[in-house]
Amino acid sequence: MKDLARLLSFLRPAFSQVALSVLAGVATISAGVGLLGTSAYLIAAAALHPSIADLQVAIVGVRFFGISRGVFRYFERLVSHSVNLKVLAGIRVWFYQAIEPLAPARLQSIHSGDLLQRAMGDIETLENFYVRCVSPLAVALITGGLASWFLGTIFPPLSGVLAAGLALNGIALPALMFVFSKRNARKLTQARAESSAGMVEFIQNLGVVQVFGGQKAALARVMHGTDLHTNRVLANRVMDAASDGIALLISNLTLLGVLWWMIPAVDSGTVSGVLLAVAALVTLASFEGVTPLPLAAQQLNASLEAARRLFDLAQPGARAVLSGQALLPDRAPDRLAVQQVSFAYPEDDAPVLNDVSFTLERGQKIAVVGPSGAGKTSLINLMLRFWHPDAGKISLDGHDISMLDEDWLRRQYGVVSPTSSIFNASLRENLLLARPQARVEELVDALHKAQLGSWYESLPKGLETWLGEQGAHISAGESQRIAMARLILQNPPFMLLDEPTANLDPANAASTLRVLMSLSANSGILLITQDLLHLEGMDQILLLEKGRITERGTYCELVSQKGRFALLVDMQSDELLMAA
Amino acid sequence: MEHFEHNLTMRTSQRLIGEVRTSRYWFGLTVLLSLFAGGLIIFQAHRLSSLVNGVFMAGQSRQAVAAIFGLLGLIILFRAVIAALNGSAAGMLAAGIKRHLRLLLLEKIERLGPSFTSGEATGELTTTTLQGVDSLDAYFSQYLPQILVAALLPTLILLVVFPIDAITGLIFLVTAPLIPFFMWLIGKASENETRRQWLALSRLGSYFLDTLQGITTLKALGQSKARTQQVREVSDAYRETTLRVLRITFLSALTLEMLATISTAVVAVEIGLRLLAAKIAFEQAFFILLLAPEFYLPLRALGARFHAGMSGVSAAKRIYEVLDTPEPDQNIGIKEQESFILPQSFKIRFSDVSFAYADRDQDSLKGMNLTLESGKLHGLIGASGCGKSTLMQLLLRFIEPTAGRIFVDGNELNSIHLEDWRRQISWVPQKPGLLSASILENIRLARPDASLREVQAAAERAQLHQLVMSLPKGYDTPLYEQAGGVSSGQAQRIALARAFLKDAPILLLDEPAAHLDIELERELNHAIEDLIVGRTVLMIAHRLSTIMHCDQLILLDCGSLSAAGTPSELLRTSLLYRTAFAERGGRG
Repeated sequence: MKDLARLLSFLRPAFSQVALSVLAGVATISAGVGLLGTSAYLIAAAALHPSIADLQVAIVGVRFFGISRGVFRYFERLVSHSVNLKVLAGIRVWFYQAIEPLAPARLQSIHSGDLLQRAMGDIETLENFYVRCVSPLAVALITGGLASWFLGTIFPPLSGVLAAGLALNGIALPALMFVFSKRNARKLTQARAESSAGMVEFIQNLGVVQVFGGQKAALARVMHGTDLHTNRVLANRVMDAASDGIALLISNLTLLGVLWWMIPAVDSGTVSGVLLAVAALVTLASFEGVTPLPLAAQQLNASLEAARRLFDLAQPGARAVLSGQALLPDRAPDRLAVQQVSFAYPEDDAPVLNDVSFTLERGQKIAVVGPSGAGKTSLINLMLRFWHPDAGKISLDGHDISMLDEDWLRRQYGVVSPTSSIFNASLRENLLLARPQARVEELVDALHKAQLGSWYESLPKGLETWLGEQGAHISAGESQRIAMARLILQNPPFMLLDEPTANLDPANAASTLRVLMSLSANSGILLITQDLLHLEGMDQILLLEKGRITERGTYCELVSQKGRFALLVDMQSDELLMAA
Repeated sequence: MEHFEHNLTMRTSQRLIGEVRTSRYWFGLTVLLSLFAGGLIIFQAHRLSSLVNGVFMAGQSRQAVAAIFGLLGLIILFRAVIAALNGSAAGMLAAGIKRHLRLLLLEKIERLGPSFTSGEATGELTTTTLQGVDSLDAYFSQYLPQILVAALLPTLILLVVFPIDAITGLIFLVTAPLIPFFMWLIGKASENETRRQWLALSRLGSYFLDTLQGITTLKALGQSKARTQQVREVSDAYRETTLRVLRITFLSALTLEMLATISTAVVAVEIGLRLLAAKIAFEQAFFILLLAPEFYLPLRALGARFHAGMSGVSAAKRIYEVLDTPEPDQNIGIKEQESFILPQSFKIRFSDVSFAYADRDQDSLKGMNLTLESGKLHGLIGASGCGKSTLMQLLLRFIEPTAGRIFVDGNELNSIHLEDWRRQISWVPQKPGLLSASILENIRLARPDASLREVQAAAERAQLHQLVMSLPKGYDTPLYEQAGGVSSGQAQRIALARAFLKDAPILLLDEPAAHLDIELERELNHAIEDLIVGRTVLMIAHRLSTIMHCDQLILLDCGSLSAAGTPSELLRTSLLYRTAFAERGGRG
């Protein structure tokens, strides 16, 4: 109920349009009722052979309703879809605003890709909420009332009969559908997710399955999953069919009821026989308003489910980091200190970082190395204040970063990571994100410095080149370097480089790393890497294993110690490199 | 181009309707029920007009028409039951066809094999098989039955109306074809507009997704709050273009509505006037008036389901495209039912083997001549993209050579039954290929009948057993989709355990990439060394220490064999190898 109210609140900004669309909907259905009612009147009256002048009004009425209905329908469609789009735009903006302060902490905890895809799907489901649920219900309520009132003016008991029939078809049946579809919808969603997972698995493991001879079993497993889904869909169809049958029964029995009640009154002369035909056709036509409601109930289920998921997702969790304090230092910081920091993700028991301490001064270069999963990336997340450490603190020039203004804090860093996003926009827009007021020459200069000079010059559209979804139109190495060009434009006090050469081939990796290191003598650089072979120039190397710093020192110190780092260097030197 | 597109749509529609064969009984039932329902509608209108006539014109009392009430009640009951049955039958029809097509697709994908699925995006094939086939549901359960009703019911009504009132019959006859005609006309006119709108919608969708996925980057760049305004602007822009499009699209609603209502109005006025002139009786006039909306209703409903039909056809295009993909004939040279037994000692010989992927101009392998000897460890080396995995795929028979031949113990490889051949090989790929089943089932994939004891023995040799025993559920621990819940090191050990369990004489292995984890590396190395013993091995090797232990090295360069021989021979003869060796080997 709370979700429904919240969902309805998105309609508020479009209230006048909502009223207009409902009005047009009522007019459409009323025109249909009017058309059949006046037609029935015309024919019944004509049967009594009056003069043609007595039929003129009825003839005009028939023509009017015949023409106007289409026009009303057109307006109804147009206005209701306009409301729809407005609501949808509102939901998008709301969702973005709600999720922005929670990201990425909130998005990292669950499979973020899935989550966002699902959120997109959910928002699209809500697209139907107004047109399919709200508007038909409002229209049905009003037209039902009008038709019942009208029959009452012919013969008072009829309004009760029609109202009862309409309520059965428009309220009781949809309520029944709501309950049944709710159960089915949950199973359907589950079956869909399972069959999709099974399918992805089938395709991606096809090779292994073929070699080891499990094709039949694998095929059967996928089919079993999709069959479950098909059966759920079928259950929906059967439910719809049953509802169609019941609706047909209700509307036609109502017609019989109206006639049954009215005939004695006609017989006794209290009501004109002409009106018998009118009442019959008005009754039949007035059910048009309630016909879409059983399906609307199903849609409502889907919408509420989607809304609930979105509202949940946008709910600030306990661990999400919100901007609280807003200390604004007046100069750029010189010293980044990590003091005895420990941290565990909420869903994991094992800490990813355990009592980690080091200091990074501007102009200094520190490398953090270690196996994947050792906590290297979490370190950067903590520095950016995407998460809070469980113990210890991180400070800039002595200010605890949790006391600093969020935007100011992040401006002190430049980040390059494998997850650095390339946006589905032009090269220019992608670069401008780093420094919105940058001039074209500065952008081009940054591209050159990031070793994208010759690539850039080869682009026919230059800065206007479209980079595609997640940078689909460019190579992984190019996206990495665009992220680097952003870094150059930012020129921040501290650079956080998370596997900056991960997507490059060995020869390029070495030269890229050199460029990055030489970029700014004035910045402090924190390099996270699994490549141990180009670390001679670092001021300090930290070996991070299972969340702890197990060794620290310069490259020469660590190698001559002959400890674990030296062993790892040996192992990595063992790889044969073949230039492509 | 447009003509071609149109032809394709026609052919696809025909083929789609042909699918009805697979569930023809359900289809027959739908036809029968639709006919029956149509008859009942007409019968009900007939009895109703007689009832109203009796009371209104003949002044009969309720008692006198009570029998008609009873009959009408019965008709209504029948109609309701038929409606429920008919909808369900249509659902069964759709479910049957969907199941059939899905099975065809899956079998096809399986036959096309991994070389096909790696070219096609996994997501795209999944979408085609699941959502694509699902969008046929509306086609078969709603659109097709509606076509039936739209064809049957108006015909029945025409047959009844013509003898009673030819003028009304004529009006019906003239206006009825106009509805589908206008539908088609408007659909055609708004086709481009609609396509543009879908494009705009998908752009908006991907813009929004793009923004959400990049939110961390936006935040790190301090741009995330400024983006709100952009989200709003893009949404508003979309709303405006969409509304412009809708204005045209909804004209179809206007026209169809108009046609049906104006025709009803014309019929009403026409019979009213004839009634006035006493050229028709009230009962018949009222009967026709009752039938008029029923005449147009199925045609209008068809319009509402037109979209479902169209999206079904466009989904079907992609489905048939996959189903029509030509398959390599894998058992081309098979002689009658010969079963293949690999002898103790044998050779695998590549004779002038070339391979080119269909979507690339360049050969991935060029005129490869090569011999692998039983019981030896062959190291396959070369830069990435030089044809190492193509060579592996040929031996795995995921692909067939485009030229040249491969011989195993003198038999041509493609003359051996695929199952026979695959029984002889184990494969440990870079990505282990874990299924969302228990660890036990994942290892047992290699031999479904293996006992728990045998599985444990294999796991022990893969250095996995201890680790599994430390898990609360042991071997029953479920692995989730895409190996969620296990580290890459654990996943690789499961793949090794599989190979131990299968115990095949030939082993194809892709040496795992280095982890910066000393203990893990040691365990993996140990397990691999154990696995190689006594088998014929072809290993894509990355490490000098491994390479130095190989009996034979095969060095590929840009799809050609650059050098082959023992490690020390290669050091003497191959400049490429020497250079690579010096680059790293000198440091280690």
